[in-house]
Amino acid sequence: MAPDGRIHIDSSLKAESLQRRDVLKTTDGTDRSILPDARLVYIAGCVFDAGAKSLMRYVDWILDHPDPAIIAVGGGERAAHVAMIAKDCGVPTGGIAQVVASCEEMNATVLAALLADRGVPLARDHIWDVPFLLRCGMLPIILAVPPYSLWEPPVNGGLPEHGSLFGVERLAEAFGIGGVIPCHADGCGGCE
Amino acid sequence: MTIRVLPDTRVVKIGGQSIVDRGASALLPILDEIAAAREHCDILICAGGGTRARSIYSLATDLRLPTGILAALGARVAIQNARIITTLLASRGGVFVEPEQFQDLPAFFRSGCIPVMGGMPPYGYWEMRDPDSRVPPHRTDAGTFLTAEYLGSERAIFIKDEDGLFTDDPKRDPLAAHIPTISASTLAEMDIADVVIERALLDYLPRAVWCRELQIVNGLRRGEVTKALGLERNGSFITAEG
Repeated sequence: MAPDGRIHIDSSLKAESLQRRDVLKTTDGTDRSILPDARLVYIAGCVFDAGAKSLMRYVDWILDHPDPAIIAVGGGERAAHVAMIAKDCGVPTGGIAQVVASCEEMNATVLAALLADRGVPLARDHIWDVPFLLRCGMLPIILAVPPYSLWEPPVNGGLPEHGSLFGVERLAEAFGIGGVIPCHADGCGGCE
Repeated sequence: MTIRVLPDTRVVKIGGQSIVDRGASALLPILDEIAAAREHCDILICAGGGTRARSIYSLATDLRLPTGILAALGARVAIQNARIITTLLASRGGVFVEPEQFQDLPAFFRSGCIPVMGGMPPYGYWEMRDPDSRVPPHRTDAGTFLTAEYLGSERAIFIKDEDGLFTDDPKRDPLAAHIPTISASTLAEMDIADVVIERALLDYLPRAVWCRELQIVNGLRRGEVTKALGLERNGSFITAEG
């Protein structure tokens, strides 16, 4: 027990306030890249919304491509619809984020069926299976939206701020993935 | 206007470095107060991290690991403390909950339980990065506030080892002045070197629908936790409005 009444572990941050900017600054610096050779393909929800032809074009492209890739899927119009219903009913922002993610699960299931011999739907807490799956030539399928769910920051009762594209960018940064390949349906102006 | 999911819930954080790292002498009396208060209100406990989080953040910094990995690591520390608290409260209704179990909260409360969870929001590898730091900006203060906001609680209660908010860390500066009440915007404008609460909350609090106050109380003083759970105005308040 230290003189301040606490049991500490010796480290560069021992007993420090993690609100102090000078302390936080000591942790800054460039990040190690965890998966520098991986590719992250983001299939936006509009691809699913546009139907079979739109979706199969990307499925064939993914299967024909020799390099392994992580596939992130968006929610599309079903996500927008459930968000609209939930908001109209007064569901809090976090609750809306929760049901939006569920729509991405539906699209992930569709994609898994189409990529059946190589696609592997991946639960978020199985993220460390990704290196193994890529090494095996498999295609891990993950949700694009970040897992903020009920803990989505408040926006005066509005829709969640952190959507699918944000989630893909965060995942790419966390794992040092340089190449994010966004895939949209023809005619899409760049949806989330 | 959004609905209030479980509005009568007291969402209370037990500090990691401030309380749990002090061991039994600090933690057990606080849990006694919470268990007694449970007789008249529903309480959800969020556990803080503390020195083990600092230790693993320090190691991760040396290894240049990204913020998302630090967030995933820090969450484990808060869960460890939540497990300890759950164990200590087990005979008085303590039950550990994962984020996925939030749908069960009404049943837990109805049966007189005291749900306990790790305080970190489940951002994990998807955590945002601040410009000058790889320490996750959303830690157990943020998780506690966001939990209170989702449930529709009007205040989030933070049990720490100081009498609330000061103009600087009173452990370092004995002349630091106590601030009984201050708005989030005023506190942000003061830009003081150290604040008692994670800075992200100063941005979020004015945007909240229901959780419009953060109350910070000194858990080392007997009775302060009981007062806060009774919705008295002890300690310090950071408010959404100026």
